[in-house]
Amino acid sequence: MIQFHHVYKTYQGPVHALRDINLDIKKGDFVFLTGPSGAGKTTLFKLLSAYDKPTTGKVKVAGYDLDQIDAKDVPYYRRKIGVVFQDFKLLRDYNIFDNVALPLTILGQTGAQIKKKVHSALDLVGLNHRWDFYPEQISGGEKQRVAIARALIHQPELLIADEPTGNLDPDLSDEIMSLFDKINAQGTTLVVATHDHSYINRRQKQHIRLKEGTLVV
Amino acid sequence: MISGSIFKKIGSSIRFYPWVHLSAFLVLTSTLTIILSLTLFFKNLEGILVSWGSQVEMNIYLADNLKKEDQQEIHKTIVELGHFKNVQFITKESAIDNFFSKMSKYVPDFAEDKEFLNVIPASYLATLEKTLPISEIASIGKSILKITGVEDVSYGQEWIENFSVFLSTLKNTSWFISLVLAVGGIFVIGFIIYILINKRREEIEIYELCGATSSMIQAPFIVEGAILCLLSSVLALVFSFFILVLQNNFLHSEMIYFGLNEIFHFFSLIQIVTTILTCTLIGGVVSYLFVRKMNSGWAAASRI
Repeated sequence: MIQFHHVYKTYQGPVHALRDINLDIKKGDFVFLTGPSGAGKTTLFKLLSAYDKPTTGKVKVAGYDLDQIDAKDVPYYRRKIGVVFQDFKLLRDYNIFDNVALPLTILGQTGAQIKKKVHSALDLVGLNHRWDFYPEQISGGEKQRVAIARALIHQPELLIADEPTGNLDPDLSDEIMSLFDKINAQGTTLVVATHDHSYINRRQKQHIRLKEGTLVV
Repeated sequence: MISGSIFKKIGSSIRFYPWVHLSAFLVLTSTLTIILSLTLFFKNLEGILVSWGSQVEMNIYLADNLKKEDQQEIHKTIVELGHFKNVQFITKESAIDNFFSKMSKYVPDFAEDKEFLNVIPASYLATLEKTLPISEIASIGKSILKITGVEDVSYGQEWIENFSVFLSTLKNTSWFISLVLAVGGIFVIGFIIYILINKRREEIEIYELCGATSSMIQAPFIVEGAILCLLSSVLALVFSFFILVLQNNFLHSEMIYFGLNEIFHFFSLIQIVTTILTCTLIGGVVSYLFVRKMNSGWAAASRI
């Protein structure tokens, strides 16, 4: 599902954000990514979500060569993945239903299909009763669940989450992590970046550590 | 996304950034009102020239002591030019009578001045068959002047030519002002779109994140620019109309003897539709030029 082969990413300065990263994450895996601030987690997520290209090396995700991907193909790649951010990234002028429906609207699905799938996704995250609320009317944990529902609505092969519990209290964080377990159990590959080792220790999942841009075994 | 969502996005853009939209709308409307009013004003001033051109009568003064055959030859030559619907011979005596009947009440002594009789020549009064540009009337005047036996040709040319030069200078100045305003207007549209893109950058990133293509992201901005220009052009046309009404009221009350208020008309329906469509198109194109670099698939790269 995800293959990094001798990946380097250097920014102007020069700042070596990633050095010789080699990864092989299989379909259906649940991988935690940890590391202190500045370790290169965000850079790795930028490469995974096609917001940036590696300086050298090969990045292959869901059949796309992201080190060579053409700008016009990026939207089509993004339709194959789901991304969840720490700051939720919800459209404030859209209600919960419309926020979750966004990927399907972009895919050009019909109203009936969208309605069915959105309610099913909201069911999964336990927010069907709040479909007509606006982001400002719901709590942080609920916002993150909406973001997860949106990331899953188009049934992506891969879900990447960058510090999804970073803005949430421990109870809500537990809720979100349980939700990820549920999603992974349905066959979706997950890469979750987190600072909180307690979740990692409680789960027997793959764990990738980054330090100063390199993988720590 | 493609239709309903575009208008939904535009609606929310107006709701969230009303002052940006309102200021852009006012600046564009003012700019277009000035451009349209200037265009209308000069279009109507040209109408005055055309109107005068259609009323032009040429006085063709003949040399003294011409034989009857020579006069007839001159008449024939003028008629053969093919520009006149009527060529009327005015004898020296009837010209003097006419002059005296008009002037004697102001200067009674003229009637007694026998010397003066010799000053006024016989002439032809030629009426143009159709409306002609001033330059062509001048050219006809020159060719008549070359006919043997013609002493002078008069059609108020100095007045018309001076007005024509004055109009041409004003027109060039107006073109320059309009051009500056149009360029300014284009930058206003572009600047507004640029501000909106920056204000809605996170929103754009969310769309990118969900797999929206460049055209899907750009479409609302392009439609927004086009609608902004469409509404501004409609309002500017309404304002231009009221400016014309005020101007005509002024001409009617203060300068009625010129009859200009009957010459000053508003744009035709086709011109109105063309103006609105052109402004809408310009709005869309300018917005497109400003947004086309916005989403290259890596827009959020510097922000994550």
